[in-house]
Amino acid sequence: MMTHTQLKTLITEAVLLFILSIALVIGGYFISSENANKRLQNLYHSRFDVVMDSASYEKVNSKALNSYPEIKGFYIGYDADGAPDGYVVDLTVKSLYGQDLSMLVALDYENTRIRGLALNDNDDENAFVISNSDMDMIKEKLIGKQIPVAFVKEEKTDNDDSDKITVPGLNDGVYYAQRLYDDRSRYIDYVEMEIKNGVIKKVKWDAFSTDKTNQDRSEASLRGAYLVSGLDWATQSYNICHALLECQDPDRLAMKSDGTTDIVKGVTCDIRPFYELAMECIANSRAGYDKDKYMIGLDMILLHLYQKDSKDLEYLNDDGHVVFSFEETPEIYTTYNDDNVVTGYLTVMQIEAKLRGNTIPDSNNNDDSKDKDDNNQNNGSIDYDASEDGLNSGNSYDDQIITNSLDDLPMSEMASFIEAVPERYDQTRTVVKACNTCYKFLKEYLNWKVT
Amino acid sequence: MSTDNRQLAPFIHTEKNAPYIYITILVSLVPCICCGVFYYGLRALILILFCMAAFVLSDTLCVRITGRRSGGDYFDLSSLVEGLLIALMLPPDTTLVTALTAVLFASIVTKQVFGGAGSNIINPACAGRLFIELVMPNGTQGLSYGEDNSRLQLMSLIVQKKPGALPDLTNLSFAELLSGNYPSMIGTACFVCILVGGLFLTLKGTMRLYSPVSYILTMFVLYPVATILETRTFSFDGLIVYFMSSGAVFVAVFLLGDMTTMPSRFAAGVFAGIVCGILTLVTKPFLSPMVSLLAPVMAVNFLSFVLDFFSKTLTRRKIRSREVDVS
Repeated sequence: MMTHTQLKTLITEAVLLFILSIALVIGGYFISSENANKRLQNLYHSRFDVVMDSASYEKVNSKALNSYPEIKGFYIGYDADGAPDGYVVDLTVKSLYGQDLSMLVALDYENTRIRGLALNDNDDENAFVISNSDMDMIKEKLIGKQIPVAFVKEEKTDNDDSDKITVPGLNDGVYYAQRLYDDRSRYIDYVEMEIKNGVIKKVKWDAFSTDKTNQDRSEASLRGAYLVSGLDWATQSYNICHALLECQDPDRLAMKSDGTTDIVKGVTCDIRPFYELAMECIANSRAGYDKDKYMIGLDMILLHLYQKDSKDLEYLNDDGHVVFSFEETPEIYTTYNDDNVVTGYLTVMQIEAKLRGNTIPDSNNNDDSKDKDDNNQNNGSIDYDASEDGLNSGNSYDDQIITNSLDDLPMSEMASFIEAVPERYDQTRTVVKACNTCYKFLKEYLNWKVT
Repeated sequence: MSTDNRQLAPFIHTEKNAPYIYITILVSLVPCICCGVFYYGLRALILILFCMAAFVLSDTLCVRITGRRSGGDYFDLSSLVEGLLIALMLPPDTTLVTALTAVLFASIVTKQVFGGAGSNIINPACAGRLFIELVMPNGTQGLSYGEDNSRLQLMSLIVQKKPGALPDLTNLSFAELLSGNYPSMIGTACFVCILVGGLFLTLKGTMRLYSPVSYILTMFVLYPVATILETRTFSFDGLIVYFMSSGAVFVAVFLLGDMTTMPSRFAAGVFAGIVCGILTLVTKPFLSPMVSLLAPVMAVNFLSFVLDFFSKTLTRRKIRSREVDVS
């Protein structure tokens, strides 16, 4: 065997050799890496210059990529000064029929607008093929658009099918409706709706407390003082309002008989107050009965009942809402048949007309175009039983489907809307899917807070 | 009794005994280990440790089962050397299963079957590596480079990765070739590290230079001829790139310099080196790079004892020692 001296000598030599090796390897690496980097940059340029011409590129390894196996590579492009210029995402997405589309998506660094799109070479049998001419047309639609992207239906414009998307006969303005009685939590629901160019642009659903010292329901829910199942009430209210903005018609929210809906993600609460008040706002809009007139109408009811308006009765809160429940005087807003059975409820507009001795306006007076088959006997009440439970009231099957998300992104989050390339829907849809995948990844990678 | 102690074999007591030789080889491989771990990270380190441990375990089990050498204070360091050599000749993205296959073949078939340490005819590491190259060709293609190479990834030890895009080696700079900054096997890339290891072995007197030098010189001289015959063109750059990136220098230093499996006499060693070089160049156009490097080594391993026999016969009237250094 070896002597101790030999062993000591060898150990010393091994340590020295180790130190020398480390120095050699690290030194060699830094000397040689410049050329290696240059070659890598040349490779990146040859691949990415078609979508984004940056001075240099850097591959990013992020944990967020683990959730997106379709993303093969994520790169940041830098300009000549070394400032970030944009992102390049190399990804493969599935088409509608399960084929693979491999492509590059380049995005602006600041505003994540699409800067470039290019197809990768894919010789795979299962490759989704898009011709160059089709890709050029898709690029025309998408480049410059901010992600995420959704489709806008062409019939939403001035063609014959416009009534499928928007409720006809709406007058522009701000419309308002509140419940005339409070709920068990002493809250009075209200909906405020802004209409521009016949389209519902803003909707707010909240409730104020008849106890003026209490917070509004949304604020109370955010503070944990008002609890409902599922998400907090303020978020659910936000979601349902966005759903209405998308579908434009409360009937299309497919409210079920128990007051819930299955088709709006994140909404589990009772939406009946919202539905009824939104319908009332729409009726008010059709009649040109805006928020100011509504408030006057409320004052008129109070004057009729108490000979004082809301100001004198000190029922106005800081937000200008009439904080008063008419539950003590139900006859003012309830309609009865000859047997004294409740048949429906009147809106403020109808009550005002009744008090003025005018003909009570029908809340569905412009609803002929909706072609509802069932003629409700209670002309004075809001028609919330007209549709099948859980389905919206469209005629065709397509109308029964409400698309409240695309690529798992809610419509409220969509930043751009495009029209599909004519007769190339599958191709456009798959490229849009790729863009939206980039958005979802960036959202996670950059920890975006969507408001 | 003769006063010339160089004729005392096999009863001589030299300072350069088996453990010393093997430890020296282990130390000489330190630069290659550093290079492999620096470029390929944790998975390279795990592969190295795994192969060494597996080889030791396999050898120990075989020895116990056959009862050839039970107990005692002798620890067979050749297992560590051979396990390490196998690991250094593996691509960085090799799975543990592939590595284990190479180790078991090397340990059982090429070493223990022939009688264990010092009795093997062929180099076990060479045979093990060649075995998986032939039997599991897809398992030996995992060369990561650039953006696909991460020092912390470990999945490739379990699941075989698809080989990524590799750069054209002819575009490599001299600095990259010297430093090993290009896709290659774990320990065969860094030309400088291999040379440092070879120099260390030479200084320690534990490497016979006959075969490695004649191998390199043969290839250096005949490579232009072989290339012209193969491609009708020749460039000096191509020659340099081949020598520095193919692993030929690693093979020369650590496989052809092996004392157990290579001829011990000068003439036989030179002849073996020349034959190995010629075979490598002849087979290069037809076989995969690793097979064309390792198969000739195995061929001259088989020839070694014949070459030694003839060399001994030719020089029997002269004083020759089978020992490395008996001074």
